[in-house]
Amino acid sequence: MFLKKSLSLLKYLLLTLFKSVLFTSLISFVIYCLLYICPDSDSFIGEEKLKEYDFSIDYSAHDLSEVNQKNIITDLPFVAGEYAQWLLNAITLDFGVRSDDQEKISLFIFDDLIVTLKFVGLAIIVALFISILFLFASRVSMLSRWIVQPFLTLSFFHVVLIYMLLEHIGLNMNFIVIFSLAVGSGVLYDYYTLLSDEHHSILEKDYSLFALNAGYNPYIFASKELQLQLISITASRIPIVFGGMILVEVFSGGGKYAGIGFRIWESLRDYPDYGVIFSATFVSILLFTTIFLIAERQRMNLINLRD
Amino acid sequence: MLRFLLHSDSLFGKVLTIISTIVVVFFVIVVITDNPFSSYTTIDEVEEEKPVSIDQLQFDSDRSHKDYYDKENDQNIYILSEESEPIINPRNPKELKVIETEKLAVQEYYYLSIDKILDYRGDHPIKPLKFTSQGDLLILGTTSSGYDLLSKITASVSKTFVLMFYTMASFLFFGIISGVLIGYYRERFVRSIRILEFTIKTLESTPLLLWMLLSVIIIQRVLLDMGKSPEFQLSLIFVFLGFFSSPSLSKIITNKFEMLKSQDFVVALKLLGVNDRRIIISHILRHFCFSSILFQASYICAQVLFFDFTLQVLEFGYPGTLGSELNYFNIDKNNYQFPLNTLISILFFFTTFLFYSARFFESKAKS
Repeated sequence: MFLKKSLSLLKYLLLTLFKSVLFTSLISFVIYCLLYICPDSDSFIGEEKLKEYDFSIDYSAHDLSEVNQKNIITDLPFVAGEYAQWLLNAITLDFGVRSDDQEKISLFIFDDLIVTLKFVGLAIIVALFISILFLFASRVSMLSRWIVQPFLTLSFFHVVLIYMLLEHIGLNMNFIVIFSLAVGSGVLYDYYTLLSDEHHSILEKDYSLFALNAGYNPYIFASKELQLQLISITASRIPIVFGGMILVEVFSGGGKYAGIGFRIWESLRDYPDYGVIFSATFVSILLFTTIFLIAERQRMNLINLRD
Repeated sequence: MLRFLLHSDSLFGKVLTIISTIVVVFFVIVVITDNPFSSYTTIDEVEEEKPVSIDQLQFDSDRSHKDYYDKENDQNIYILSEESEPIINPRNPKELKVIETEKLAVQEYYYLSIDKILDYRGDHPIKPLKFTSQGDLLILGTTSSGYDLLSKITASVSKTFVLMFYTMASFLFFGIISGVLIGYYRERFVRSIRILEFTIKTLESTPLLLWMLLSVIIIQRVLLDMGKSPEFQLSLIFVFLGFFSSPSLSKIITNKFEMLKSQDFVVALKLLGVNDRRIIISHILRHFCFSSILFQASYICAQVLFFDFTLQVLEFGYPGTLGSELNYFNIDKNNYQFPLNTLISILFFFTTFLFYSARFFESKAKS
């Protein structure tokens, strides 16, 4: 029984990973094409193409753009070939090297990802904790009116503004970062509202009411549906928290908060390092697509469970 | 209106809704009437302005980058711009817009307040609610560099409103179209709808900020190369913001259509010979989706404020918007403490108004 369950879980995980790789490959190909048309992306894509130009011709007599003219339609086979090569290398975790110091991208990109995931994970846990606390607090109308509702009005933007006003007080930076992420971008409001709505609808179902009236704990009866819903809602919030994390990473100037978002941002500035940008984007999209597909699957499971 | 003002459950919420509505209505009026409290000289009225060819100028690294030397006429000329950068004529990149008057060199391109600066040079910052010698009321006073703060904020609010319009237009267009197609025409165009659904899933699965970061860099690089103006680039970035945010609206509309399309009234309308376009627009969208659309539109407006500020923090921002003013005041906060606090308060009330509007429409949509 245990072996059967483990095998089906493994099969599900492998299938999800395969789907997300396919999904990511398609999305990142579009991004690859768009990066190709950027005028200064030759060092990453198109260096070989540039060699095809005959520089012995005096281009100064013509328009300078004749040399750098990139046409994505005519160059599509070339770009697809380059992308396929990059993708094959990426499967073996070879993302190429950073242009300024020739350091391997794979050496730092996963460390960055761990930093980001750590804070995103902590923020989700804090948001979950606050949401559950509010769920119980909202049963008391006074607490609901004076604490829960005003607190839910806060957005990330408000937190940043309040932070700018209260900066001199000297609060713990880790606390501010995690709190901002948990509360920010409307995450807490959405999270709380979705959890609260689902919690009420599940506990008002016939089987929960029957369990309650028969003297059983309704949470035990509804645990599977509650768990599936919790996973589905939590997974759907992660991309939003990630967006907030990019801002926090940049706002705090990197340092110990420098994650994958900061890496992308740093590589975009002044002289963009398209290799790092694309690799970091690819890894992020792969991660979020996997999470998205898991959330979708949980949603489908829920629909099946309800049917 | 009264229902909106009093919709919040808590007293705190009601008070906040009323104050934020007053602030927003005040700024909308000021923007529409172009600040009726003071009169301004616009750049077109400055007589000394004239275009100078770039070949005429001598660029000297020792000089301040605010001024340049006109070789032909043997005189210093001063560039009138926001960031002390030359204003390049979009039709002719080799032509610059310059001002000969030294006193104007420190002023901005937008909403020149020449008289006020000359009148009060040395007296700045002036406290709020003071009258000028011309009888104009300086509601928020002036900044330490002599600008009427209300005019400065009004100019940026007006630019931000335009960006909100672009974002909302693209958000509503893509969101409604894709929502209607998936929700109403799923059975008719199976393959095309699958592709559309896949595209929406693709947009949804990746964080919005990641999409926007990539869009910003691609737009900036490609359009700069094509010689497009910063205003055009900024507008396009916000059109993209609307596009990348549209899956949320699309999902809501799809769900509504899927729920309603098999209802008796829709079947009856079809049997009566009412065409699809009328059923979609006049019946379903108008009566069942309107509150949801307004709810999402309020959120997207708040998103514009948030994203504008985000662009500034990420150093990809453009001048003239609310976010850029906030960033500018924040960088030099020792000199701009009052303007900074004022702008933060205004932005707080703006976002609060939008969030409360969103919740009001959300509760209406649910009911």
